[in-house]
Amino acid sequence: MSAASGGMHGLPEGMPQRKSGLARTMEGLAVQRRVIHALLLRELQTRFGRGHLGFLWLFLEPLLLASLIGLLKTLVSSREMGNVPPFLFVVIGYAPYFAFRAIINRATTAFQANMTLMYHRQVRLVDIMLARNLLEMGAVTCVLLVVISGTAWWTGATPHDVPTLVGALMLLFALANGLGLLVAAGAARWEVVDRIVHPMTYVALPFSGALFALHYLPRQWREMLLWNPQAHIHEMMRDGMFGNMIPAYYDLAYVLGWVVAVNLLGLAAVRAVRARLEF
Amino acid sequence: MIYFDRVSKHYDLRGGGKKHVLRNVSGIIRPGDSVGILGRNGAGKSTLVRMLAGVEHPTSGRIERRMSVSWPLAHGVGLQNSMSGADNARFIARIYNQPVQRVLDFVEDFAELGPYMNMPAKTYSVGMMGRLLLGLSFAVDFDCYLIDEVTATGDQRFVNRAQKILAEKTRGRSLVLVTHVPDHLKLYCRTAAVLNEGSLTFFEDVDEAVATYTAL
Repeated sequence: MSAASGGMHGLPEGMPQRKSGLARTMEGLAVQRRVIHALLLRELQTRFGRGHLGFLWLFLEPLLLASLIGLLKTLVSSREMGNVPPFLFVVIGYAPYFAFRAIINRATTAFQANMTLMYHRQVRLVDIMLARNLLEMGAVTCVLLVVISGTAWWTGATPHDVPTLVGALMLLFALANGLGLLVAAGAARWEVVDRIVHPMTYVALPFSGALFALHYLPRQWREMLLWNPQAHIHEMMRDGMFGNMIPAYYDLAYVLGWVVAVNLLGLAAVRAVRARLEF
Repeated sequence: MIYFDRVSKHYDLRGGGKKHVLRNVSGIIRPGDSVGILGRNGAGKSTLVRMLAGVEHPTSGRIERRMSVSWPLAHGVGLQNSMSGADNARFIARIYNQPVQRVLDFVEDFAELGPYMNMPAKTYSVGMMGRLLLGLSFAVDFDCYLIDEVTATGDQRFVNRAQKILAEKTRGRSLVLVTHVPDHLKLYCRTAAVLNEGSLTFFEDVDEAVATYTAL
C-alpha cells in the first residue's frame, strides 16, 4: 500500500476497468440468485433445525392456527361469511393474513439479525428480505394447497377460479414485500420504528378485510375499508375461491398501483439507508 | 487493486457530537502488497477494514475495488453462530460460487476442527473460530485478504500453518492485516501503516512503523 498522491481525480493509471452495461447487470443477477438460494437454505436451517421435519413445521404452524379458528367459527357460525363452509372461509382469510403480518413484523429486525451476514458484500438487505418472504409464501401456499385439496376431496367443492386465487396470493406477498422493505429500512435507521410497527399490525387487523366479506358490511364501512389495498386482495382471494357464492369488491388496478408504489419506495428506502448502516 | 480517494468517516455520537475515524485518507493497495495496520484500540482499524471490504460506506470520498477482496476476517462476523462449521462452509461456498464439497474438504483439513465441524459455531473457542474463518476464506481464493486480528489468537501450530498458507496465497496477491502483535506484523507484512487520530501514515519499513506506533 502506498499513499496516493494528493489531488487525484480520475482513477490511477493501470487500474483495471470494471464490466459495464448488460454484462454487469447479468453478473449481478447471477450473484443475487446464488445469494437468495443460499439464504433460503440457511433460513430453513436456522428456523427449524436440521431435522427432516423442518419444512413440515413451517406450514404446520399456520395450518394449526387457522384450523383452530376455523373450527371455532364452525361452532359459532356468523353471518359475514355467507353461504360457504366456515372452516374454508377462515383458512383462506387467516393463513395469508398471518404470513403478511409475520413478514411486516419480522422486517423490523432484518438488519440487526443478519448484520453478520452482510459482512459478505454480495449479501444485500433486499436479498435477506426476499429469501424470508419467499419462504413465508411457500409455506402459506402449502397450507392452502393442503386445505383446498382436502376440501375438494372431502366435499367435491373446488376453487372457483384458480388463477385469480393465485394472483391474489402473489399480490398479497408483493404488497407485504414492499411494506417490509420500508419497515426494514426504517427500523435500521430509527429504533422507534420497531416499537410502532408491532402494535400497528394488531390495530390493522380489522381493517385488513381478512376476517369477513365486505359484502355484508354497511356501504360506508365497505367504502372506507376499500381504501386499504389489502382488503381488495382478500376480496379477490375469496372471489377466486368461492366465486358467486359471495359477491366480491376489488379493483385490480388500484392494488397493482399500491404494489408497484410500495416496492419502488421500499427499494429506494433500503438503498438510501444502506450507506448509513453502522456495523 | 483497491484505490481509496479522500475517504472520511465519522459516526454520530449519542447525545450529540461526532467521532471522526478517518479524515481525508487516500491510498492504493496493489496486487502483491502486504500491509500491516497498527493503531490503538478504538482508532478505527476495523472500520477502515470494513470500508475497504465494501461492508461499511465512507461518509465522504470513494473506494474502488478492482480485484476480489475477502470479507473482513474478524471474530464473530460473517458466520452464523447457531449453525455448525460445516453448514457455514456450505453457505460460504454457495454465496461465493465455489463447489460445496471442495470447500468442506479444504476447511476440514485446514481448520482441524474434527467433530466440532458439526457443532454450532457458538460452541467454538476463539482459536477454533479463527481457524474456521481463515480456512473458509482460503478455500475461496481471493486476490486480497483483509484480516482483522484473527491470526493473533491461534496457537503456535496454527500460526505456522497460517503463515505458510498466507505466504503461498499472497504471492502476487494482497494482504491487509490488522494486529496488535508486532511479531506477526513482521512475519506477514512487508510494509505497514499507522492509524492515529483519523490519519493514516504509511511506512516502507515495518520496524519504523512499529517504533512509531509504540511511541504513540
